[in-house]
Amino acid sequence: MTKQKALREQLRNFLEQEKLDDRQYASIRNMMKEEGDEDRKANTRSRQKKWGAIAASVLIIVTSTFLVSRFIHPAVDDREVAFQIAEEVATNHIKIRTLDLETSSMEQVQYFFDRLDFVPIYTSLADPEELVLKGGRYCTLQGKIAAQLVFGTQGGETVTYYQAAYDRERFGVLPIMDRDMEPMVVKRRGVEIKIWVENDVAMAQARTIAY
Amino acid sequence: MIFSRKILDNLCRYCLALTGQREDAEDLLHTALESYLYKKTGNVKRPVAYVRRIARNRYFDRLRRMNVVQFERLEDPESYSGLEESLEQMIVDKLTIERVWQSLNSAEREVVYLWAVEEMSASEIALHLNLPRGTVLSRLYRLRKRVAGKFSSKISGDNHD
Repeated sequence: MTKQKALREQLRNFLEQEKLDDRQYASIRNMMKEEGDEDRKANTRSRQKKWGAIAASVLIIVTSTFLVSRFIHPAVDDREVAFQIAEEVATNHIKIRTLDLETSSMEQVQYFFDRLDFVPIYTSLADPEELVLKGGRYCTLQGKIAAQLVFGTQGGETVTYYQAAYDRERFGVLPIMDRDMEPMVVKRRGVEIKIWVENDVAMAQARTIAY
Repeated sequence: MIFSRKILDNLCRYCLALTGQREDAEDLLHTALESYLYKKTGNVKRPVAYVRRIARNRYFDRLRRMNVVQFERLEDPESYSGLEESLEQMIVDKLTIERVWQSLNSAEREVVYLWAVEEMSASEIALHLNLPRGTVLSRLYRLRKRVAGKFSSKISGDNHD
């Protein structure tokens, strides 16, 4: 017979065996850290607002030149952010959590996801002939609130889409579909991820790679 | 606010007590933390209790949507006189605890978690969960009953020690 102890102590020991593993902890910590950074940035912006008018004109000239060069040659750190986005998307695609809303109606999705800074849309990459909407849930991308939309195909494949308000500081420079740029394609853990910006919304598509 | 790992582990255990499944618990914890972060709750005095409440509400809302309703008899708290004291005096082994835990439903697991890990009394649990004290006592009573039942059947069937 195993060692006997008081019921409460035995229960506590049993329950305290459970804990987050390193991956789960890292995922939650990153989510919370990004949200803290967002709040600090908002406070800083409001304090500096009164000096913005003077600096803006100079900044526009410098920044426009800088941005043109960055679109042609994305900086290494922008690609690194895209890889981080791909990693997040792959994780969310491989393990799809319980949907907040189960529906085949995009109208219902648009009505339901009222915490976003934008209205979720059918992206031009989603072929309505191929894909059937199953529903969606809130998630985060690089700490920014986002929507995960889950689609199915007739062949039983699951395709997931991710939409978040585009924030260049957070997401880096991404291909803009409205300017006829091709999405960035990244493969992670058996998942092909496409990343782009469309109508000021950062988007990603994830499909399991068929071998 | 960034929660320490210890607090996150406690929240994970609480979600596990509710759901009974590790994957569901991770899902619930993640969702509750996301909800907390995006409510911009700068003036919440007890954020840990707040996140626990979010998790609890989401979990039981989901059960209600799935039409999973757990009915309980309304009990007179007086009929459980001495229950908490008897629970404190019970001695059990680890194997019995594992088996008893598996047999509890989510409402019972939640109360047992708060009693054992958060070391709350029945009155404190009732206040925390906004439940009648009799309901909390009836769940603790079922714990005692199951422990006594499993432990005695283990002893009667186990003649090797």
